[in-house]
Amino acid sequence: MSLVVSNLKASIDDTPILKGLNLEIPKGEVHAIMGPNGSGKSTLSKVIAGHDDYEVNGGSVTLNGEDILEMEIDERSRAGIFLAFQYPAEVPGVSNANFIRAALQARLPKGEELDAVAYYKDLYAKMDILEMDRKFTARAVNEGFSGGEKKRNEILQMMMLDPKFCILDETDSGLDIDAMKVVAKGVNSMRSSERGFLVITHYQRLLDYIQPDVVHVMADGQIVKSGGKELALELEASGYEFLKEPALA
Amino acid sequence: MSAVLEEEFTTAPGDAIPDAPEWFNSLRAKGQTDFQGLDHPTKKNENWRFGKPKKAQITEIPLTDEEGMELDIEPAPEGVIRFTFVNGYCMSIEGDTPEGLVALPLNRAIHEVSDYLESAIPPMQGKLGSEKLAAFHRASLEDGAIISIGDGVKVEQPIEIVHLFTGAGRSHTYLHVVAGKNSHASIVESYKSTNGEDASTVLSVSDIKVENGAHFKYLCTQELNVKSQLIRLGESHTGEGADSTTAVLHTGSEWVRDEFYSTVDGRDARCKILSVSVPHGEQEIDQRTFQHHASPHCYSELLYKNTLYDKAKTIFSGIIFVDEGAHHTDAYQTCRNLLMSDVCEANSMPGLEINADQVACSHGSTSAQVSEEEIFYLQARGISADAARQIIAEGFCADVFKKLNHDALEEKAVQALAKSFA
Ligand SMILES: Nc1ncnc2c1ncn2[C@@H]1O[C@H](COP(=O)(O)OP(=O)(O)O)[C@@H](O)[C@H]1O
Ligand SMILES: [Mg+2]
Repeated sequence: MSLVVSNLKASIDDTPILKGLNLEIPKGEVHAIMGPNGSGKSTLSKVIAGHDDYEVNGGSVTLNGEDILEMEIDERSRAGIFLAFQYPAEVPGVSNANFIRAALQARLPKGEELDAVAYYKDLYAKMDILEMDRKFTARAVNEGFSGGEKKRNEILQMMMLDPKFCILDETDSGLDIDAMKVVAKGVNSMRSSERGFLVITHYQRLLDYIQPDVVHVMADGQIVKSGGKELALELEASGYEFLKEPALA
Repeated sequence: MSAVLEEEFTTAPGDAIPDAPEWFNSLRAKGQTDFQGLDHPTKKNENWRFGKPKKAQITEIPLTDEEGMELDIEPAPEGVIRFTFVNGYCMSIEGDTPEGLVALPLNRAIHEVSDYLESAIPPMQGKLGSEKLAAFHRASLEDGAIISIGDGVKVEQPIEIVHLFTGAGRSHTYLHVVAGKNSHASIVESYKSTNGEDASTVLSVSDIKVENGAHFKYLCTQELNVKSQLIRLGESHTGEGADSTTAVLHTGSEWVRDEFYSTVDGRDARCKILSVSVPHGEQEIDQRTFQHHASPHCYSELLYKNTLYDKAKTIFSGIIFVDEGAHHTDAYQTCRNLLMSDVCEANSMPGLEINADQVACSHGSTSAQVSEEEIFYLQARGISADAARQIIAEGFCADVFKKLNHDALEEKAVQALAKSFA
């Protein structure tokens, strides 16, 4: 599905963070957003997901033409939005397997039970792609997970929930090269002509493995530059210094 | 399997049971004397702060009287030793007891293992506020589960004790366990009502002794109907190098008074005391605990969690007491309350008294609502906010049973727990 963000303004505690952001990601494409720390990348992802801390002050976000800003958080997810968090929450006492199962169950019509056998088969197959130990199913969600394990777990959930539009917020942070390759394999296995991706990253590295169609640069709550994947390489070489030049401010 | 309740021969408290050994009848008589000499507790009693001592005046409630009723009882799985009690009377014991294990109803044990039992029955309980009821229980002692695990004996499957209650009225239960030196065993006890209507009043006493080097685990699931009341008085002793874990789950009863006194009394004794309560409506769960460190180099850890809905109320009052000379003690006490409504009431009174050196102790209690970040995370996966709260609350509770370190017991606890969140 396609995602269109127009003139999005959002604030937290009356401090504006997103300042009229525009972004259009047609289905089938992978777009990357890069930008310095604090530019509002995570804020954008959480506003799209519906986090209550952020107040939307204007603009719109549509998924395949449908306004999602009016939807509850869980409705957005069921409508097809998936956010792989930069900092996933820990849920003590709830096993990973039960958590993902509850998320899938929430997508079924009332009265219909998830087929447990098929579920585990699917879960194990996807864990194998992500080279995750079977023990993960019994462990409490993200509790005591290393940074890398948490990120893998986010991608596992993404693969299981089969979303229509995926947002990955700094999935590469905390991953070594091998783990990143594994995660990229999982993401790439989901690329399709129907699904859109927004990959948020601070480093160009990840984009070697998940090749984007378009790269955007975000600064101070806005998209300030867009280009092809070579833009990521340019940024890698010259950094974000150019953002400070008055011409672009 | 079905059991038919027949008229039970009940003897008035303190009176001698015909044919019972002399020592046993004198225990009953002494119980009765003590009972008569003691006052009912009042709110002034420190152990009843915030509590409802009036509710504990149960001795006038008539005993249940449900003769001739037929109950369907599922047979125990292969290899499992299971006691089934109805209104505190043993209806059956299933399974073969291996060499070295005694598993008898009290009314047989007083004849078949009389000398053992005479020496093994500890002094009366009630140090945490219910002395009078403990005496009353002793005066009325007639039946119960007597379990003795011989030295070095390993019992693989958990021994099951099923308590069913039917008909309105008072019932007593008793559990007496001695886990012999270097033995390994576990027990799972459950309390259930046969219907949602009958108001049972249950007075339960358990004496648990874990001897040197033994490993013992115990789980009690209490799912009585919400017309019922339960008073549960428990004591555990953990000896040198022994390891004991006791856990209780309260989801049922409109009022529960639960006193648990644990003593670690041998070098390197380790003891875990766990509890989960999930009261709804106007249920009240009143729990008092005492962690007694009687020897140096012992470890005790208490974790009580309450998840409160509606107008539910919980009281937790716990004391860690370190004797003079019990140096190098490690003692921890935590009570955590999860508030699921704006009108529930969780009271916590942690306490500490240390009379030794080189002691590592901590105690604390917290009350909180479900974390918004956790709800957001689950919602972001498509789970509704209400369902998310339930899943998180269930996880908050289930987490406690991980500390049992025993898959079968954990599974039983989690299954019983799940009914509260279905
Ligand atoms: N919960 C919050 N409370 C207060 N300020 C916040 C909060 N979340 C983000 N911010 C602020 O918003 C700005 C953008 O943050 P963020 O979206 O996390 O940036 P990025 O992901 O690009 O590093 C930062 O200045 C940050 O301090
Ligand atoms: Mg960020």
